[in-house]
Amino acid sequence: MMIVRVVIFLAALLAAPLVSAGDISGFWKHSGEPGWIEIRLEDGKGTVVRNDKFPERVGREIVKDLEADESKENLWHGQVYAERLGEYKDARISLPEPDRMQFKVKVGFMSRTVEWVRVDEVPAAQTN
Amino acid sequence: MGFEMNDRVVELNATLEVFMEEHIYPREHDWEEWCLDQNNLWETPPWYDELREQARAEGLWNLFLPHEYEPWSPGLTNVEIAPLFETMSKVIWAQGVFNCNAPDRGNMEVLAKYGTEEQQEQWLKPLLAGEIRSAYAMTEPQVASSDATNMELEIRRDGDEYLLNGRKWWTTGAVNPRCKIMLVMGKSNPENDRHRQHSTILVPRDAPGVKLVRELRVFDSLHSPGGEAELLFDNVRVPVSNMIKGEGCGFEIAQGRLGPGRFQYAMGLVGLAQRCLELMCARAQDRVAFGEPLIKKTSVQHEIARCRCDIEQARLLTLQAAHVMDTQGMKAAIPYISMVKIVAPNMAQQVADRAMQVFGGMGVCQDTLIPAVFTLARFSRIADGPDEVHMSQLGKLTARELNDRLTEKQ
Repeated sequence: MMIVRVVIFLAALLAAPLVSAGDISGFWKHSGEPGWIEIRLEDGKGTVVRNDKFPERVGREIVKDLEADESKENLWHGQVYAERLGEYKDARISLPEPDRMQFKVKVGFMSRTVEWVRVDEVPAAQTN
Repeated sequence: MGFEMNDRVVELNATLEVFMEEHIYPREHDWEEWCLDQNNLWETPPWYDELREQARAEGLWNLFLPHEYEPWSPGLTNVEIAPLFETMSKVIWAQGVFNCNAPDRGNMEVLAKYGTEEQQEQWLKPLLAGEIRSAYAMTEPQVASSDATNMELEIRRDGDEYLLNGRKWWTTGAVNPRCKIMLVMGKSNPENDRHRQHSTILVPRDAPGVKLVRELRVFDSLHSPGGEAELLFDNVRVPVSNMIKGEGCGFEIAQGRLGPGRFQYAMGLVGLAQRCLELMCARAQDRVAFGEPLIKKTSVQHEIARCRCDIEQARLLTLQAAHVMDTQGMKAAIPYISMVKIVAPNMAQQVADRAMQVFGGMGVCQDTLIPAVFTLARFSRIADGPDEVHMSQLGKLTARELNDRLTEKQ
């Protein structure tokens, strides 16, 4: 009976998609702006590590409460900081390709998509 | 009569809905931002082509083309196309992602129906593949174009070429650099009967002598990236092989082009109105004024109810038009095409207007699609024939039909 329980428990673990197939942990660069962030899935957070346009944003927690979607691979839910509104908004975070991440954020009655490209490391900021 | 969807349409519609949720709605804000930025004028957002590739890969491509256009068509009837069109029209620019946008879809129908093999090879294939865009130049600034027999642009045979001289305006899409070909209607045979004087001819957008006079604004919007062009045709030369079907066939082609086009336009407006209603309900639920959500107020409930009635009426009428087109052909569908052309833009304008009122300030700015629906619907009451022309035609047809019936009984 014990063995059956263990098997059921393991099967349930295997079936439960608590961990998405892909991994968004690591460093990412904004697709169109000179901004870099680091995602730490173990903390459920993402932080601005470099921003050449708005250096004051470095250190900001841009993503929080990150959790993998329970029914779909390569999809996470979390809260993304919307600069213009000055508040966190619900976001769907996906990985359409292993090195391409998208934030889909609902702002009012419209949504926007922000794209990020994976980088191995954040280049050092240029100093004059 | 019911208009139940068969299994194939249910499946396609479900795929479309998922695509809208996953790829189109999350880009609505980006599209607005892109188009409002003057630095991006006439340019398409960088992410747009990727969406098109995905849509094509999922089989959500060229769905507008009914089965009689096989092998070019995916094989659906007009009744089957209707609900799909409603779904893909819930965001104004989304039809283009599925290669189902005006004016390309009407132009593709013309080329599929009347084009020579050479014309189909050169222009239809890249249009169906979404590689190029097109325009339809009919309306002219110096004449009342609601009466299409007024068109003056001259098409004159000169050896192996035709020579074009004249002006056009409201040539949708012709400002965009992706626009490579135009279907131009003009007068080629002034000696013929009134409805055999005009022809439709293919003119490359970059043909020498085609000059962009200006970009027109629609309620102060440039409609970028497509644009609304005013064009001058100054001694434009094209080979005789560019003539579509033959000299004097311009009206026949215009009727063939605009008939199904009006049904699709109507279903698109049903989709946009439905989206306005969805937004209106969400706003009424969220917004609190004088101690209660707006939805508790009788006036708001009544406006929502009116919208639902109007949308459902227009939807069923459009489906009926599609049904008559499928079962009895275009000629029998003419009164229905007129009906939907009169009803749908007015309905969408009204629904958008009510949605604006419920939204308040947010309903008149760029934070929702409501103002764009309002202006598109208002514009549509003039484009492709104004309300009055369709009402006159429908009135005459109706009186003739009923009087004939009465005479038969006597």
